[in-house]
Amino acid sequence: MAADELGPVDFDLLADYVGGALDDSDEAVVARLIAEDPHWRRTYQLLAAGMAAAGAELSDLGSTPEPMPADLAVRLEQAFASARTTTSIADPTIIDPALVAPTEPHLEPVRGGDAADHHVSLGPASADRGAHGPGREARGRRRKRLRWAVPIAAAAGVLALAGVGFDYLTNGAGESAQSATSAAGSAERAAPMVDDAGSAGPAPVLRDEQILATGTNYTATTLGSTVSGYGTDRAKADPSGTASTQLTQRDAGRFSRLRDPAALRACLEAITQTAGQGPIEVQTVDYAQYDGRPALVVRFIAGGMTWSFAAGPNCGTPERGADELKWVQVR
Amino acid sequence: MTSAGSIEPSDAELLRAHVDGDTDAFAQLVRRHRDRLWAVALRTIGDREEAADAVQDALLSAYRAAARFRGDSQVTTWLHRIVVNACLDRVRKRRAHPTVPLPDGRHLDDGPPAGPEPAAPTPDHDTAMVVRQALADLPAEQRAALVLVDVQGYPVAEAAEILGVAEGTIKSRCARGRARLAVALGHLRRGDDGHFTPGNHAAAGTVPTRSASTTAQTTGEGRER
Repeated sequence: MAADELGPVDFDLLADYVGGALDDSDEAVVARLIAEDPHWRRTYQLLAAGMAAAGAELSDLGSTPEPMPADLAVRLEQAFASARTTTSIADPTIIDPALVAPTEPHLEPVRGGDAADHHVSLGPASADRGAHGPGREARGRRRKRLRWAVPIAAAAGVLALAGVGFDYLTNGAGESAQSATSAAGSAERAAPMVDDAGSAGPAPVLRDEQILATGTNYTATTLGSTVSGYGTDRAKADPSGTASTQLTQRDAGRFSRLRDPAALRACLEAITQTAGQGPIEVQTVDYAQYDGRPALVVRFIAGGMTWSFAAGPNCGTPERGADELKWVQVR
Repeated sequence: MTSAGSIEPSDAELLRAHVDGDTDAFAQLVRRHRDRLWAVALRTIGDREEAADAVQDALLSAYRAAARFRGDSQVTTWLHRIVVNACLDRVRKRRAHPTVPLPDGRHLDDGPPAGPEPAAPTPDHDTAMVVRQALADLPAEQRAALVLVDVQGYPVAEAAEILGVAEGTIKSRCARGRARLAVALGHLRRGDDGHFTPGNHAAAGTVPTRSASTTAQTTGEGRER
């Protein structure tokens, strides 16, 4: 760099000089400019003093204690407790690669690893999910099965994932009733799925009352509400097959893909990945809207908190991951 | 499992114990460092809700990725790296989908606050608010470097390791960030002339970056590796 290339004072260059970030040759050039050019000299004096003052104010900011809020500390403890009872460490299917790889020189790719015996798997692997970024897509290609790390007992009572239970959205009540029955015996169903990594096994289902088709237009405000579109009679799915009357015909059509149990399973897996809090316990899924757009609103418990997740119709696809529209904590 | 001469297990020992199946080791490790991790996250993101989510995401990822840790760095450096990466990821996403921040650090679409969020006492609350806002207005990479080095007091070398860049890059980010802050905070006033207009007449917050392509400095913003 020649001094005559600079013209007016280069603010960033001067800042680098003040901050000691220049190599020797550039530092010498800037030093000469400061010595010879009054404008550079005056700017240097002001900038050096200003940067020192700014640094001091930042240091003051750092002198103020900023302890972790108690509720977050509790959340973390609960999340660790939940994780250690339900999942093995280093399960690469649920690690966000953006956080730990590939730019970390002190980390290295590791084992795929099976979950521990007390895990309940989701069942047969669904379509690869590319959730977010190339790293995750690569993991998806490995077809690691996401393990729904829910204790068997809990799974028996609460979590059973989309098998044939969605047929009432399209086909009528008969199979829905069957699915509800199958869910009722979930302990027996869940048990064979433990470490059942390779076989399809029986498709678990959500209970009827967990599957809603309210058509509710959630907003950022109501999504996390404990009442909106949730737990009301209106929100209950109608096993006669007319539950989707709450949805517009157009929206019902846009949900056609997610009526498929495998697609719904992939969607819930993608939501689990996006939530990034380990296993989730699904409370309800609601074929609804978010800000006027078709949305699958999934309420679930993770990390000891209840969350509400609005996913778009492309949820569970490799391209869109969870197709996240919005997710908030239910308060 | 303790270090020789030490009653408490080291961080590395706790992490190893966690990998080996000790059910409380990781929580113990986090308890040891959570305040600093939180402070870094909050000051990097500038939003309590998002910082909380980022910390939780990051630490759960660390929990699960513990077996990958090879010990090439300090455990705390590794934890900070994961937390800072989570924060920067959220900052970038927020930049792509901006919302309007409220004065208390929430966003319009966050819904009602969960409850009283005790603000840390400051000697001069107004000044601290102004500095925090000016810090929040910086480019994310400069902010992260300044938070680590100037606010939290980490050595440049450790900040470089946390952020995965060269030490020269950290120095440059810090220097340019401080310069921008100096402008934003009014430290470059030229006596009665009002605000100083730096160098080639850039306004505060729009500091020129021409030097990024002119010098062969150690490792400036324009030549990160």
